[in-house]
Amino acid sequence: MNALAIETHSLTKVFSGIRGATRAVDGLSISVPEGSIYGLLGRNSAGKTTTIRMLMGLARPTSGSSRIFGLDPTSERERVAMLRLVGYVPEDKTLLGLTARKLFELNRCFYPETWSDDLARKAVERLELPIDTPFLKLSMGNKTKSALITAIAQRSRLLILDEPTTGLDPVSLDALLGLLVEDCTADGRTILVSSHQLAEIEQISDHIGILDRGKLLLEDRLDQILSSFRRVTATGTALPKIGPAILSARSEGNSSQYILQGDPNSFVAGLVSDGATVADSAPLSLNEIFLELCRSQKAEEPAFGEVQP
Amino acid sequence: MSGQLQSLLVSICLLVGPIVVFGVYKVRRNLRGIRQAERDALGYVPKPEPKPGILLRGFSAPERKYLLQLLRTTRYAFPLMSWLTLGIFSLPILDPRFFNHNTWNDPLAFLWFRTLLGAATFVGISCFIFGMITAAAVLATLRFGTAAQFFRTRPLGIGFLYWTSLIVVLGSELAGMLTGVGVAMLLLAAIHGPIWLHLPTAFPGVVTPNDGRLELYASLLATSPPRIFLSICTTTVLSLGVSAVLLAAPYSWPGRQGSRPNVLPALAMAFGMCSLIVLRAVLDLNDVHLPTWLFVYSRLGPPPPYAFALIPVAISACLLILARYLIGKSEV
Repeated sequence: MNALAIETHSLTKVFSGIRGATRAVDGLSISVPEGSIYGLLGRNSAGKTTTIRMLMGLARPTSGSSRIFGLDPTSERERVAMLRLVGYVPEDKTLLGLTARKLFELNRCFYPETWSDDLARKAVERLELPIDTPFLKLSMGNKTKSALITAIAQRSRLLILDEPTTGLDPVSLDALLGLLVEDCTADGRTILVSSHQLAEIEQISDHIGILDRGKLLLEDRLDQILSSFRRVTATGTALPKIGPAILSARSEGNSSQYILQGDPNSFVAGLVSDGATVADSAPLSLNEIFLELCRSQKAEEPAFGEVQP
Repeated sequence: MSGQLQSLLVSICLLVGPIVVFGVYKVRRNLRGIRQAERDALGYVPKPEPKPGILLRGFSAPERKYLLQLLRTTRYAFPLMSWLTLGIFSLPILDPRFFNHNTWNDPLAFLWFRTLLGAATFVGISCFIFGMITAAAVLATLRFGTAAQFFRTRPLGIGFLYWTSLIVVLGSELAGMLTGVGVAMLLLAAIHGPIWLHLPTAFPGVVTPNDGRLELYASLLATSPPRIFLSICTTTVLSLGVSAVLLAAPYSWPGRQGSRPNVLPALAMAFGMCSLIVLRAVLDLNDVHLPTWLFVYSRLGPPPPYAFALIPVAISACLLILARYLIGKSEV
């Protein structure tokens, strides 16, 4: 079993307000293996950014704990050692300094042992970033590129990217994904990338965590996730509507379409042995899995984010 | 326009004008440099880092970079504060009104009276404002917006960020203020001589019974200039301590993020201003004990004992330690 770059245990963040408390992150326990590219997926306000802010020590958990390479981000003594190992791109891409060049020159001194000028140059060329244009004049995409290159050139053991594709055009996005896979996962480095752009994440991730309303709905290897979900259309009489493997079922006449989770093959075998005919059986894309999980979660929980009395 | 208003406007222009002209010059120079760099479109070749000086050798590379960045950012604080203080303290020296429109037979004594009155007013108003500005400048890199998000995710201790910012910003500010005061006094001595050594022992003018000027003159004679100047430092530090705690307090807001960095500074400053008004109102009450105990020497008259200067320093030290604790708990 791989060592863990990130692990959280029952991590919870509750924001108190005049109108009551909001549970932004609710008992989250995730494990990010070292050397993996971990996609943290979720809708808007799913709790991705709050989770990342807690990991970076920018927000304090209400309860629960987190560790980055075994170091506690809430402990002042361990924080600095932890930050030496982490490159971070925040959700808010407002940048410090005047130009990308000045930002790189500032940041390189904070990571004298790992920073690579060559990698910074390569990324600047690949992403076609104008490094002397003032940030005030830069487009959103170019601001994103500046923040990404700043973090990538650190060559930290862990890269935490919060919505790293904001404003990027398809060409830049492709170049970025190439950079992440080729240069950032070398030497066993780890990437945690949060996004709701599933197609991009599916291209590069090998581990996935799906978050909704602050809760972890699913976490596993991507190939494991893809193989454990299936859309099955069956015809027959007395087809089951609920079951441990059924995530959702839609019936029309004597035909039912199932979204199956867990062990679809044994469910299908059971259907066949009960006399049903399986008309179609197809794997789901990550996007479809994500949508199904969010729908099923929505059906289960009445109120969004509110702390139950 | 009345002569007084005209004179005030001229004074403000003299005080602020050079700062504005310098600011415009710097901005235009920077923009020209940026445009040139954009035209040149050079590749990314970073400048080599200079070798650290003796004072910086004990720090790690990230700490050195932060300190250099901090010194770069605050390099104008000292000349700016010197200029502002010099300007404020020199207004009576340079303003001919003080010689033409006074009812004292000794214009130099009146000039000294106006200088000390200006200094006391400076203690009562400007020092509180400068203390608040210092707190905002120190906590900006730890509490609010992009700078805090950037520096708090670099391998630097929060204590290091806090105390170094505090020392550099406060040090520049106090040194600037004291330099301004010193130069103003030298200017006064150069133009008119050491007038504080030659004050008449009785009111220099014709007085009527119950003339309020007699009391003013008595308070002038009782005033201790060194303690007013010391009060400039202690009051600034006291205001800094209070403002730092207000700004560092871990406000929590409902919503996706724990804090609203763009709104908080404005709210905190507004709250600070309200506190300042309340504090001023409290200090302006006839009860003179509180200002005396806090060494806020904002009125001419008998000075508080030197030992009392330790009280605001001690209070401020406690408040700054509390602010350090709170900043460690705060969210960005």
